[in-house]
Amino acid sequence: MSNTHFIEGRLVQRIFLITGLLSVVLALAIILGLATGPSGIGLEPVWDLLTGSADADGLQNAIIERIRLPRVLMALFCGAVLSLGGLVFQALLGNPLAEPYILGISGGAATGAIIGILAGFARVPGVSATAFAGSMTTLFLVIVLSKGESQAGRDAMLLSGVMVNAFCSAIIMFLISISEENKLHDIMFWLMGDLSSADMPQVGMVALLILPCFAVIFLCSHKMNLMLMGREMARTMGVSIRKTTFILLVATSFMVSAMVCQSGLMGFVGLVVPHILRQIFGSDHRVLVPASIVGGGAFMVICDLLARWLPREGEIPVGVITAIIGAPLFIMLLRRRARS
Amino acid sequence: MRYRALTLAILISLPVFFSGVSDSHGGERTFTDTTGCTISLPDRPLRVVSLAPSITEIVFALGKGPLLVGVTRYSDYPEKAKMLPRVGSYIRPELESIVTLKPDLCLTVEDGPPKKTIERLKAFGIPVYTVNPDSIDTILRSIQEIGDILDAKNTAAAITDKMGAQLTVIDRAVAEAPHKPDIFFQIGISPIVSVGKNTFLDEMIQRAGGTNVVTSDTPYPRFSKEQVLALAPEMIIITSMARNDIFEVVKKDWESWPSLPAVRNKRIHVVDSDTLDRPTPRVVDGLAMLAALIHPTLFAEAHHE
Amino acid sequence: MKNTHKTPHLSVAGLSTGYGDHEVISDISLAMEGGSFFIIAGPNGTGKTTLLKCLAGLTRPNKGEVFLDGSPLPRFNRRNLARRIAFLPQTVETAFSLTVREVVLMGRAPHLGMLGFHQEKDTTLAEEAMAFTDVLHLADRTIDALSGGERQRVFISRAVCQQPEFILLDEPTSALDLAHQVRVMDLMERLKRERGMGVVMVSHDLNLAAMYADTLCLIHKGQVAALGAPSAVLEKKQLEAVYGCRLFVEESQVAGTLHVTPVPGRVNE
Repeated sequence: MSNTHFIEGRLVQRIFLITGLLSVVLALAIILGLATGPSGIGLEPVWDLLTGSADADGLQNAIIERIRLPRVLMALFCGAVLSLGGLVFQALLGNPLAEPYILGISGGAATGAIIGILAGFARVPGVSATAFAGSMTTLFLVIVLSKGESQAGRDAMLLSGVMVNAFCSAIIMFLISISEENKLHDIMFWLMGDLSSADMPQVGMVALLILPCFAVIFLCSHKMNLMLMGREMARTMGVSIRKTTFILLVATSFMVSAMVCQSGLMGFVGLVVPHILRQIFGSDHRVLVPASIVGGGAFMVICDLLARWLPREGEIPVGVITAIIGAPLFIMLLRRRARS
Repeated sequence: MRYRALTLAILISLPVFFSGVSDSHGGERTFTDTTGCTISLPDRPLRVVSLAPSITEIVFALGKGPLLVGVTRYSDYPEKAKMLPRVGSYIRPELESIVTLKPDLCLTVEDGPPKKTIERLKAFGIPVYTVNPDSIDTILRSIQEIGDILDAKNTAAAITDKMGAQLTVIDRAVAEAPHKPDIFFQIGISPIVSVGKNTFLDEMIQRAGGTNVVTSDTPYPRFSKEQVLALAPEMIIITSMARNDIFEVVKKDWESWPSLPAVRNKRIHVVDSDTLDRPTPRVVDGLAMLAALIHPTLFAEAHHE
Repeated sequence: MKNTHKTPHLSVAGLSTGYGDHEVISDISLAMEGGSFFIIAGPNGTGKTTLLKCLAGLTRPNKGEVFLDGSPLPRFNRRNLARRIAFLPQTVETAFSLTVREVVLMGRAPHLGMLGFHQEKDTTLAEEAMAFTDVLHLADRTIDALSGGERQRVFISRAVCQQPEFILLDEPTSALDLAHQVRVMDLMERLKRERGMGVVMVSHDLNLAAMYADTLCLIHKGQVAALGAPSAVLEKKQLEAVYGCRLFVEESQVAGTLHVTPVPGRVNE
C-alpha cells in the first residue's frame, strides 16, 4: 500500500487494477500484432475474424490464425518469461543489473543449440532439446559452483554465472570458427532470436511448460519482497533462504530455458521491463509479478509488430527493436529517478 | 479446344482453394520430385512462386516468366525478374507473403529454405516441388522437370539440347588437354575458403580441364596462407559475388609470394561467380569461361563470353 | 498481545563457534529474559556479533545450543521463531527503494500467509509501530531518502510490528548522531517497559550501556569476562584488562550511572 506509486488502494485491488490495465494494453497490442503483415497494418481482417463476420476472407483468416497468431503468442510468452525472469533474478541477486541470462542460461542454451545445429538436427525438436540440455547443464554448474548460503552467497552465484557465460562464449566462438558457411547462417539466426518459425503446437508446448512456473513464482512473490532487504533480514522474518532461492532459481531458469530454446536469445527485455514497471508501480513483487507477465508480454508483442512493420522488405530481428526501444526508455527512467 | 475451355470454366468456378487437401480442385497432372513428394496441378495457367534465384532464371528461360507471381530477394536475372514481388530470401522465405499471393505452386531447391517452412506451406495446401541441381547433369534434369511442370517441354528440350551441345564441345576440347593444371579455387577472402571434393564447383573445375588441389571431404574448407603455399597451385581462381576492387588487392597479395607457381605462371584470375554457381542454363557459359581460362590455347576459337 | 504465563527466556549453554579452525566464541553460557535490557559489550572482533547471530538463530553454533523457553532453536519452525525473535543487523541492504510503510508492513510477514496479504489489523499495527518510533510522517517516503537516524527508527518499527518477545540489535547506535543514539536507546527502554520485550543489544558504547542496561555482559577473547549490573561490571581494573588501555571510571553527573572515559596517551595520570 503505497501512495507514492501509481494506483493506490488495498493490495488485492491494486493487483487486479494494475494487471487489468496492463491486460488492456496487451489486448490492444495483440490486435495490432495480428493486423500487421508484410504489406502493412490492416485492422479490418482482424475485426472480421473477431466478429465472425460472414464475408470474411477465408485466406486472410487462415493467415491470421495460422501464421500471425502463433507468432504473436510466442512474442507474448517470450516477453512475459524474460521480464519475469529479470524481475526474479534482480530480487534473488539483489542486483539491479541482473537479467534472465545472467546465470549462464544464455551461454548454455547457445552452446547447446550450436552443437545441435552442427550435428544437423532439425530446429524442433532436435536443436531445442540440445539448447535446453545446455542451459540446464550450466544452471547445474552455477548452483554447484556457488554452493553455500554464506554472506557472499549471492555474489558467488552472480560470479559463477558470469564465469560460466564467459566460458560458454569461448566455446561458442570456437564452434563458430570450425563451422561451415551454410551452418553459420542457421547459427546466426538462432543467436539473433527468431519468432517466425513458431506454429500453434509449439506455442501450446511452451505454454504448458511456462505457466506452472508463473504460478510458482507468484507464490514466492512476498518472499521476494522480504529478500529485498538482504538475506539476513529475510531469514529473521521467517523465510527459508535456501529453499526459496532454490525454488525460484529452478522455476525461473526452467522457464527461461524453455523459452530460449524456442525463440533464441533476445536481450534487453529482461533488464528493462522490470525496472520500468518498478518505477511506475513500486517494488512490491505481488504486484510486479503479474505486471511483468502481462506488461512484458505486451512490450514484446509491440516490438515484434514493429519488427515486421518498420522495414520495407523483410523483417528486422526482434532483438534489435527491443534494444532500440529499451535502451532510451531505461535512460529516461534513470534520469527521472535521479531528478526526483 | 471447346472441351478444354469447358473444363477451364468449371475449374474456375470452383471455390477458391484453401483447405489442406490438395487434390480437391480436380488436379489433372501429377508430378513426383526427387524428394519423393508428389504434387497435383490443375491444368490451367498457374500462379507460381519461385523460392530460389536460379529457379526464377530457369522459368524465364523457359519463356514462362509471366506465370511468376513472387520470387525471392536476389532474383535479379533476367532484368524483368527485378520487378516481381518479393517473398523473403532464399534461406528464409516469408510464409505470409507467399500465402497471400495464393500460388498454385512453389518451386524450390533442396537445402534452401528450412524444412519447417516447406511443411507449413504444404499445410496451407500449396504444392511444393523441389529440384536438386547439385551437378551439371542434375541441372539439366531440373530444367527438364520444371519445363514438364510448366508445360514447356519443348522449350526445355531446346535449352538442354543446346547446353548438351556446348558441353560436348568443351568436353572434347578438354580431353585433348596435355595437362590439367592444379587449381586453387578461392571463394572466401577472409578467411580463405576453397571448395572440396563433393561440391558442384569441384565438378566444374574438373570438367573445365583442371585439377582441384583441395581434396578435402569438407565442402568448404578453410585454409591459412601457409597451407595454400604448401599446396603450390599452378593457378588461382578467385570468385566474387560482385566485381570489386578488393579482389585486385587480394590478387596483388598473392603476387607477393613469388614461390607460388601460380604467381610465376602469372595465372591468378578473378572471375564473376554468377554464372559459375547458379544452377541455371548459364552454367554452361560459366563452364566455357572457366575452361577458356584454364586452357586458353584450346579455346581460342570456341570462346564464349 | 503476549500471552505468556512465564516470562520468555532466551539462553545459551556452552556455546562455541567460529569460522573454520578459528574459534571466535568459546564456551559461553548466558540467559536473558523478557522485559529486561541486556547489553553485550567488548572490544571489536571478540565475537559479539557472532554471538548475537547465534541467539537470533541465523548461525548454528559448532558446539552448544541456544534455548528459547527451554527448547533448542533448531526445533523451531523458522516462521514461528520469527514471531518470537526480531533481529536488526548493523547494516541493511537497500538495493531497491521501498517506502517506509512497505518496510514496516514487512514486519507482519511471520504472522501472515504465504503471499503476505495483510488486513486492517496489520495496517493498524504498522501505523502504531510507526507512531511509536515517530516515523509516521515519513510513511510514504522511500527508505533511501531518509537519514541514518530516521532509517534506524524505521527498522525498529518493523521489528516492533513483528510483535516479538525478544528484539536483538547489532550495534544500532554506532552510526548515529548523539540525539539519535539516545532516541534509539529510549525506544528500547520503552519497548522493555511498555511491551515487556526482552532487548538484547550488542554495543560498544559503554556509557550508553551504563545508562540503560539491566544486565551488562563483557566479552573478551570469545569468553565472558564479566556479567552483571553495569555498576558491577564497569570496574576500572577489569575494563582496562579487557580493553587494553587506560581508563577513567567515575559517576556520571547526569544519570547517576557510571561513566567511562578512555585516557589519551599524552595525559599522565
